[in-house]
Amino acid sequence: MRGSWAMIGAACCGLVAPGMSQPPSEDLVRVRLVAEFRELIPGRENWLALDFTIEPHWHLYWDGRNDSGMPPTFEWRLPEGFKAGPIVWPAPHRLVMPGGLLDHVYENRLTLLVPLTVPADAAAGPVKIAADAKWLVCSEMCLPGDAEVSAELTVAGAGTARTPGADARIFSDARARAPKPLPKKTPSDPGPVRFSWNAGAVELHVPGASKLAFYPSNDCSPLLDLIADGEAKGDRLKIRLNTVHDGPVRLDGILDAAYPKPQPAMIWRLDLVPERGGNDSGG
Amino acid sequence: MKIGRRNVLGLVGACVAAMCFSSGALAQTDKPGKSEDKQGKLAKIGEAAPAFELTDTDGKAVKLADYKGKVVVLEWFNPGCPVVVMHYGADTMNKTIAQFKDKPVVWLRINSGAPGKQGAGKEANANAKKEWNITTPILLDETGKVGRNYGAKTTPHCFVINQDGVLVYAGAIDDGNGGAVGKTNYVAEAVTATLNGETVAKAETKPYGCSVKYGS
Repeated sequence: MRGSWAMIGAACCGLVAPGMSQPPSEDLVRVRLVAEFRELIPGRENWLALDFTIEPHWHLYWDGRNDSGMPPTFEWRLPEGFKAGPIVWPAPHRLVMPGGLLDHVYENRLTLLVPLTVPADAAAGPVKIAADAKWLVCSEMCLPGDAEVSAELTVAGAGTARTPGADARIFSDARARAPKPLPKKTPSDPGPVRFSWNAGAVELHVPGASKLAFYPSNDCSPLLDLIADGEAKGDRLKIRLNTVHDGPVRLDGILDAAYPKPQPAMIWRLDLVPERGGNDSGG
Repeated sequence: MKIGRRNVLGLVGACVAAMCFSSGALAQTDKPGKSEDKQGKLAKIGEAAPAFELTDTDGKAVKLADYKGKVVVLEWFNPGCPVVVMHYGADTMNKTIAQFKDKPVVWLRINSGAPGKQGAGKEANANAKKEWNITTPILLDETGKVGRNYGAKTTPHCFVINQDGVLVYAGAIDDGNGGAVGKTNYVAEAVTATLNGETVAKAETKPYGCSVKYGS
């Protein structure tokens, strides 16, 4: 894969014909790898972030279902026994294009949270965490891009108190946009998202919400017309299924709920299947 | 076949210089029901492929009906799209065409980019035809009508039509993801099955690539 991306890069990246006002592609996207804390602790949660800055009016793609484009990909170079991932993708926003195309994209800033697994027997001391990042950034046109990112970090002893890194703020911002699991419903509390399945559609009801949007993952069963159904003002969203297609019905993706100020938006991970008996308000 | 860096640059340069940058249709929602109406015209597997007549980069009129009795492959094309560039650098399409050299198979490229969009227009596509050794017509669909009738979403997006004019495959050229050439060439498989009078096993796959640059 690296060779082919290099081919694209050689063909397109960084080469500007005379008379063009387009910014060189290396300025369109900048990415860096940062750590939440200065110390990596074996056996504890260690979070890194891939922090992208994107030229205005250009966008990167989400890792879910899009009609076009490709999300950024990463090849990690890690010390022995370390693991990176799975990446936490924040809620994107919808981009509807002429011809009935629907993509889900990020503009201006994209922060991907990356859990780093540090083996219990990792020696204390400095380590280098690195990745090769590749992406497609688009505006009216698309350009490929790539960069090597790395961070020099320190593995500390298991009991070490941690000090926040310089970029602690971007972690809390990213977590606010990260999908959360739906709370388990209880007999007395149906939870913030109620859903009911009727012939060929699922209706989501989020009491108090002022605007709802649904972004399907690649595992979501086919939907009839998400351009029309995927976003609505108010507290209800009715999403029609594409019943021409066989296969199990599954509404899988992200539900993005905005509320009246000052209430913050809620981002939930949905993985809903119709339960026996039809309507259900559970999760 | 290697693509000269300068040649592709010239293509990209010509494309980009010709276009005006706009912020695009961000966060607009289509009118309710509008895309349903369009879906009513959409090509469907197992049904007659929508007829069309378009002009190629040499100014010649080309009709789908001209090729009745042959297997027709339509490839949505944009010489400025990095994913298309990747495939042409690897010669994916020409290699596939060569597989069926002595068979009644026709391969047409269609560019549904609107005037001013990346890779659109006669000049950019005529240049690509030359630079990339394309010997079959590149058809210009600048109103986007044919693209919309087929539901073409990406470049590349491929459709295979059998000898009776029925659509038998729609989707990606292969099982790659756009970053590299895939292992399984779905179009080659669909054409082979169709030539043998067999049903195409994988009739529909998800296409990948840059969005087709329709006008608003």
